[in-house]
Amino acid sequence: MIWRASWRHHARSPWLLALAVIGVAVGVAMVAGIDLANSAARRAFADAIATVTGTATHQVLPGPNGINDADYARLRTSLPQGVQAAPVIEAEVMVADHPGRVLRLLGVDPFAEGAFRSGLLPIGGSDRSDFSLPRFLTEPGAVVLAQYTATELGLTPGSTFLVRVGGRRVALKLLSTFQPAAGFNARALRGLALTDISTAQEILGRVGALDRIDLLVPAGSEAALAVLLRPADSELQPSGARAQAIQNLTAAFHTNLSALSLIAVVVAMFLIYNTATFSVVSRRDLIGRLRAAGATRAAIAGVVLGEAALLGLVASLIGIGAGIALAHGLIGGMTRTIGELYATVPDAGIVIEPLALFCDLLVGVLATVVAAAVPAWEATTVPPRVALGRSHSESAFRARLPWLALCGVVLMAAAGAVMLTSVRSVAVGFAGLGGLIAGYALVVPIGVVAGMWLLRPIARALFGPIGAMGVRSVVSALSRTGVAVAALSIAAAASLGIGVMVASFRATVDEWLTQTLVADLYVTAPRPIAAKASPQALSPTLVTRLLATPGVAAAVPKRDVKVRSSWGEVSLSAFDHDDRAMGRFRVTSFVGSASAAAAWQGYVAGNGVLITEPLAWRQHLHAGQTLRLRTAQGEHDFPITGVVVDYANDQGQVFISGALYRQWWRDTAVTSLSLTATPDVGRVELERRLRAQAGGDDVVFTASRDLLDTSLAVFDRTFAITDVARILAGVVAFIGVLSALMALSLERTREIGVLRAHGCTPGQVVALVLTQCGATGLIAGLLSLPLGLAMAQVLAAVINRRSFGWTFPLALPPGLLAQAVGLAVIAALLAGVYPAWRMARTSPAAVLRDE
Amino acid sequence: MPFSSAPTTAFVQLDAITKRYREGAGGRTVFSGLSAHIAKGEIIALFGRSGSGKSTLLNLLAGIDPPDAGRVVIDGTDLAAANERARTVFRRRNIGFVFQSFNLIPTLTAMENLLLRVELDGRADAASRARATALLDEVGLAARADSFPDRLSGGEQQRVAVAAALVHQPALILADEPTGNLDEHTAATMLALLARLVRRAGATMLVATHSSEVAAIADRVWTLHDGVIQERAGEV
Repeated sequence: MIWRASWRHHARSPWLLALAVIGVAVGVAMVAGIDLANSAARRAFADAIATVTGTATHQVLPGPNGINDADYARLRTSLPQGVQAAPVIEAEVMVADHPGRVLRLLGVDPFAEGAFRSGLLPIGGSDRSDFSLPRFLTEPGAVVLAQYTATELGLTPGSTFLVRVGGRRVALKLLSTFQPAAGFNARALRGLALTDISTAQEILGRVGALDRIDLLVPAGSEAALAVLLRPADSELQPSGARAQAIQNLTAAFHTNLSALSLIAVVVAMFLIYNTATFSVVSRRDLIGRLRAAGATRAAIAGVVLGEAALLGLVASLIGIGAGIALAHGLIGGMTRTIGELYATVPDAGIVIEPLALFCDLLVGVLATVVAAAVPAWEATTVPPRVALGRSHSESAFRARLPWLALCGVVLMAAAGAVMLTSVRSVAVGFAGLGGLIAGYALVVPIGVVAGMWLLRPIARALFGPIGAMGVRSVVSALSRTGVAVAALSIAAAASLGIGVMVASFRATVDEWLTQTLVADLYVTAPRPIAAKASPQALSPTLVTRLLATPGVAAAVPKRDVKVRSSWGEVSLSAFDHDDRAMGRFRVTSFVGSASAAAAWQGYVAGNGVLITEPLAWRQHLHAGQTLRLRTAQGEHDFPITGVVVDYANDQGQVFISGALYRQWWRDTAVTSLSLTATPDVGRVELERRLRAQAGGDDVVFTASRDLLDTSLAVFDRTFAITDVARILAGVVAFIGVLSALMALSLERTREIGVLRAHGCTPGQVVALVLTQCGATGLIAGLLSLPLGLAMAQVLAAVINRRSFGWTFPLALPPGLLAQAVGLAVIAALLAGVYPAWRMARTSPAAVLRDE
Repeated sequence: MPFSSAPTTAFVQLDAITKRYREGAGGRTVFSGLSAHIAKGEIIALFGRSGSGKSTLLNLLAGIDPPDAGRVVIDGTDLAAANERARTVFRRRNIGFVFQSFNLIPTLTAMENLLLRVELDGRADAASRARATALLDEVGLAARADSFPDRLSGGEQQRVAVAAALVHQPALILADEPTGNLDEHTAATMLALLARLVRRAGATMLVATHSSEVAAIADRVWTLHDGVIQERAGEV
């Protein structure tokens, strides 16, 4: 019976329910969309690695000098009983006629493969009639592709195509195609080019070299294997470690996206609170009568909470549907960003995971029920048969304001304390941020009262009594408008906080790149999208020719490699530069009383290495300590002379002088050259001469300006998803204000009718509502500024630091501040258009007939 | 005795008014050819059962509802021929309302409620403010000028409503059950106050009521029955 009465009440104002459903649905869509896209990217990584790893339990990984056929032969002949081994070469190559299209070249030994990737290859017992093992082994450039990859590239068996490899163009021949065997993820095979290991060595110009040796090791044999390892810089590790390393690489990225998606849910919670509050306040009479008729407090609370749960369920189901669509829209941009920042993501498809979606559903329903808890409690306080007027309930709400504000301040202080308790946990950082937002939301209503008190004389002076009434009406319905203002404030603050953080970060990166990119031209081998994944060396003869080109005033050869450290793989860059290049490094930490210059000179002189801030942060390292790296001569401890600012790699990097690197790794290869033109030649002419020198070698020349632009474009794409979150949070806040205004318009029908009876024209009613909206938006916008700036500070100094190890100073672009206020005002004004139109149509006759 | 002929000095004139309301598929006729007049400065008490059309008549006179046929002429202006906006502007300049439920604007102070109509009309000046102050003083609420309605008692709210109905110097006051929500003593005081202020202002007033006490301040008494006005003399 109570439910029936309740349902009939809602049926009278279905738009209010609809708005709440939309708000929650948008929030859940954001969470589900990012969740699905995140897991799709993770799964794509895992599937791709599992595909090429096969059943291997361990891998022998090389140092910078690699491992070779001889190492493999030696290992194979001395393997303990029961251990199997297979050599592998794996590299990314670019398809010359399909810009941006990358193939993962997997070179394997068909005779050693059997137990490792037996389901993958049409080798070793394959019944494929068009596959010829002899041709696979002997034909130059012979590769095998999945059927749909061949179709995408427009290839048929027998056709040839060009790929770009380390500065060269190499012709490959499609020997045959295959359909993925049962148990293989078809998407993971997209872009996989299988070839014989010797063919791969020829294609990659690394004859005799191997990337790794896969092992099938029975439990307990690992120790016996370790002693067999040669050369000394190679390493035995479980095959799962590689997948884990990739997952670790992107963990912070995914965590930040998930946290971002929760902003929309938080804003949606205010919307639910508002809807539930309205449903309670507007039913005080009904609730009072039900209580008089014997309904218990628990029954009343149960109805309110039950309604909220039902609403949350319906909205969450809709949100999940929208989230699946959103995930399809997000995955392309997300995998591209991950590819640019971390490693190439194979084709990632959205897979519906019932458990994950159930969790998203739970988030939506729980958020709704939690938001409705306070109104439900309020409903139980309605005494039987007593119908209190709105003014009384508003008075009661206003009486609670100081307490709410006090709770808010305490909550914010607690949030700050929580963030300080754990200086490294990202989750604790986000929990602190959540506490800060929740605490601030409790302070907002008293801020509204103060703001409107200041605004009222101004509104009166500008718009007369209509202005005063508009402003005052915000305060007189504070239990309603306060929540709408809080929701709008948080959305605007999130927009401002993220905006300030991103703008500050971008400005810092821009400045850093400008300082760093001091040369005129950068020469590298053509790189796949995920440049950091596999730096390829320039051919030594090409380097010699380029360095000898007339017009080169200065040259800094650089070698980028991945080396093993005590915690795993680390990027290492070896430079051959002098003191003049010091300006490109900003040393932020150095040993004791030494100076930044001393740290630099120690590095140049080969007394130690410089490490970047993210590495120092992640590995708890600081200047004066030593860094243990696996060199060609075994492990060696390198003194850390200083910590430098660097935004190129969030996993951290080691800088070492060229001489010191060559001394320990005996590697003279060059990955890139930074070249400065003599004044009389200039960049354009130097590039022309260098291109002529390069001849047939496929190398990339990039001007510093282009490199800077490209880097900033990557930066912008990385943060593009924050715009989606900001927009969706704004949409939910807009719906919140609209919902609050619609509820108010319902409650104020009599007041507006009386005003109309007194001679207020429809235009004046519109002006009244829009003044109310403008004041709401203005106060929400102004109140968003402190929270937004605090959020920016937390995002920069806590979240970014803990997630990526970067530090950067906050900048305060006035445009962003104005944008936050403007956003709130415009959202509120837009939200007011329909309620204003609706109220202007209020018939005074109908109101007076009710007298 | 049905009222039919209008004197040439009529301030308010209703000519052959017809008013129907749609109810479901059909309709309900409240007035069919109703005619009446009120002279300037008269106070009329309007009685009738609930649903007899008292409020409808007030709405027609205020220009809130247009008649389906006939003329509603107030001080020479035919409201039936005016558009909605013109009627609204006419109402705020020439008509004062007193409602049973006071209907003060909760977001405005007592003084602001008094000044609402002149401000809506863009005519708030020192003179109107002085009038408002004087009226508040006269109704005994000068000290509560800055109070919001929810801080005033029912009697106080109605006194503010009476003052608010007069501050813009309307020629016609329409009061709909002005004492309906007040206790007997307060109602009597309120009626006396209303009559005194209206008489002094020289305004015309129509008071729709169930209270026989109102007849004591009226020049004439109308009783609405089946859409027809029956008249008797007041007790003034």
